[in-house]
Amino acid sequence: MENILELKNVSKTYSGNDAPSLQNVEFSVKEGEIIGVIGPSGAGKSTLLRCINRLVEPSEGQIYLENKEITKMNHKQMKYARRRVGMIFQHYNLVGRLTVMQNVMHGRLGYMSTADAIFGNYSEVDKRHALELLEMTGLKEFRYHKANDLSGGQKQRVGIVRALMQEPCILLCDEPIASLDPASARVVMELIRDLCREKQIACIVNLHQVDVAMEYTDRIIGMNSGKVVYNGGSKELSGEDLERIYGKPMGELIVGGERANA
Amino acid sequence: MHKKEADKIAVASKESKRVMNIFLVVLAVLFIGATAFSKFNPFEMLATQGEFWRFITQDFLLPKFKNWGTLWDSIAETIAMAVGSTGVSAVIAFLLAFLGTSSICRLKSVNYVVRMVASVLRNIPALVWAFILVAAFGIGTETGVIALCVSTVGFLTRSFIETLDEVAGENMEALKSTGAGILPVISQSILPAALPGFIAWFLYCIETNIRASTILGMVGAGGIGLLMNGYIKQYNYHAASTVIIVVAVVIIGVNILTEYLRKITLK
Amino acid sequence: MSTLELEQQGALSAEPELGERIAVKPKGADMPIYIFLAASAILCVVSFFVLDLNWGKVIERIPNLGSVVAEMLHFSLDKFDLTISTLMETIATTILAVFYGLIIGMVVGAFGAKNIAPWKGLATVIQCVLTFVRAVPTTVWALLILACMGFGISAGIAGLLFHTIAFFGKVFAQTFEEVPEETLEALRAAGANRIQIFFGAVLPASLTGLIAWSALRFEITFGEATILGMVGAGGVGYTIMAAVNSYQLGRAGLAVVLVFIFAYIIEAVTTTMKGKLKVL
Repeated sequence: MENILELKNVSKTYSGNDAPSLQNVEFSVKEGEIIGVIGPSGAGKSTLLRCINRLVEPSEGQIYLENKEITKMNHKQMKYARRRVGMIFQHYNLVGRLTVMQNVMHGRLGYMSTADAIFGNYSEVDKRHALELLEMTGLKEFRYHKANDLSGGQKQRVGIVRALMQEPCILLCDEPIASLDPASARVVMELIRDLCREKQIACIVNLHQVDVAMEYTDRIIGMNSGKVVYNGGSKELSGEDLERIYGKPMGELIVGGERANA
Repeated sequence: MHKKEADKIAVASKESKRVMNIFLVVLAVLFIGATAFSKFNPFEMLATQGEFWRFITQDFLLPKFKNWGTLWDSIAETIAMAVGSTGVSAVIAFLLAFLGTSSICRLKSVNYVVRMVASVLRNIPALVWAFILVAAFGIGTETGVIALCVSTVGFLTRSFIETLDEVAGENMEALKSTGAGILPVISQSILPAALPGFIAWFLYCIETNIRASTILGMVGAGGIGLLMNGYIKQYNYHAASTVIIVVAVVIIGVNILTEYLRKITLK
Repeated sequence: MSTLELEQQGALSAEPELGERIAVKPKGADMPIYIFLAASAILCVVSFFVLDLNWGKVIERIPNLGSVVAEMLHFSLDKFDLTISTLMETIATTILAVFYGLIIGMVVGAFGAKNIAPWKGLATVIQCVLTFVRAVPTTVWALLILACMGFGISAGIAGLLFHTIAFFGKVFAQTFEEVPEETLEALRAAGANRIQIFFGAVLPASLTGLIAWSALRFEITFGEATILGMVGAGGVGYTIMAAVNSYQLGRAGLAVVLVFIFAYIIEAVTTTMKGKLKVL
């Protein structure tokens, strides 16, 4: 399988901040691979995701998406490239006053002519596709509800459908379950995993729950103060690795899952 | 002394206590300074309040009035001034607001100029604007409308910018990451999200402008204020009280109406 | 909107046929807003017909505006000490009106809140009176006060008090009513009386909001105090008016700029204070 995403020597330093948020980050992602990113708050996980679609400009290094160097792209090329990168947010970032259907259709805006996009003339093919995805995520009957009226888990599922409408080759999930109750969190994680497997979409998930990362991802990248300190199979993650990632002895961490008993 | 202090157990954090103390000291200084400067004595006012009540009950009440036709015309003119100028200002402010928010217009200098102009227009009271404009345009309803527009554009521009900033942050990021251009993002995400806020501010301005247009008449800028001021200056308080009560009723009516509109549009 | 309602509208009725248009929102979802916008636009246009403004005259006199502004910006220091002392007068008037308004408003608000007023009827009466007071513009109250008290700072403060009291009365009544009944019950159960509840629980809980409201009121009252001068209650407004009337536009311009600078300072202080207050 070929690499869908490749980061080479990526660094980011925010202006007015001495310590870099990302420091020489290097890794690659294969087609359909699901990767969990863990690390303490402030380790640079969010910055990492936002560098990949250049919502945040990396200060150094190269990023290749589908073998094209996006760090060199101009504004317009970047807009085209972003269509292939779906993004899911902790706070869902839906327009609360609009219907589920309208929010979902926002995923198509990048593919439409400017005039059609401004007036919201979505194509019937796209809408049909949206209905299918809503059906798969169990939201079809809510399609004309306002996003504000949904529960957190439902909102996140709308966020997932919106991202999938972009026909992405990779999904970036920024702490998708941090605001959800345990039951909804499971539904959302399973949806992300199953849909990515089915559609061969690669996925990078920022997570705070180590046990969730180990259960749902193929590979884990551990970060500490802007550096990648672990990059390996999610099943091989050892207690020592965790201590290195979080900079604390195991006794001071709540890891959950089987390891908690170990 | 030191020991005693240590015995006390604080229920609020030190920081919050400190802020509170600073606030109280500033308040006390301001109050004492102002009282010393103005030699204002509240008890003196209480002592003369009998005069006030005599005035209200004998000179002011009960209302007596004949020129109802003129009154209704003036009321209509006042409402038209408020509605017309708020409408025009809303359109201007709507356009300016997009230039004034950094999440949409990237040019920092444009943001700054728009905010600065809005601040000047807003921080000088409408009546002062009216006064300046009267010096240029002479007295008349035209001047009143322009004066209202000037201060309303200032107020609405700032309020619209705040609304946009509130909704833009998260929505912008989500829609930018889909590869959508700026215009579709505005029309499909930011506008629908900001519209209720815009409408709420618009209605608020209708209310304040009805109030403001009643007083603009006092500098000869048209509306019911002209009539009211005339009666007060002629010491015809019974007629003035009628006008005042009618004004109050109109304003209360408008407030009830805007409250209702707010409810049905903000759902 | 519930699923049931949507079903009744037929939005969920049948699977869309191939080729049939799929809606992205239920029919008429944003109707109230569209109707509102259209009605506002129409009313706005109608207003201008009613007013029947003479735009020719306005356009003709636009050069006047240019010269007036130019003259005003040509600041004159003539009688500058008077300008400063009247500005100070206006500021002092504002401070005192807000201060006394706050204190009286607190008492009025306590009696106007339905959950702590001694009896509900009183609360209703007070709220009606407050609504009426706020519906009459400040300048009108000031004119009436001037008519019976004569000119001076006291008259200005008294005129401003009407609205500040009504404002704080309403704010306090609302703040009190927002205190949950359970909290009041808990405090009553602990043996606290009305006054203890007020100073012990209600006031501290609403302090941050209260300071923010006071700052807002200060901004508004300063604007009103400036205006009052123009109807004859002294202060910097009177200076502006007198200067314009005697064609000393440079002097008036300087006074207007001073008013703006002070208003701007209040706004800046308020904004920074809101940040600081978060620690409370």
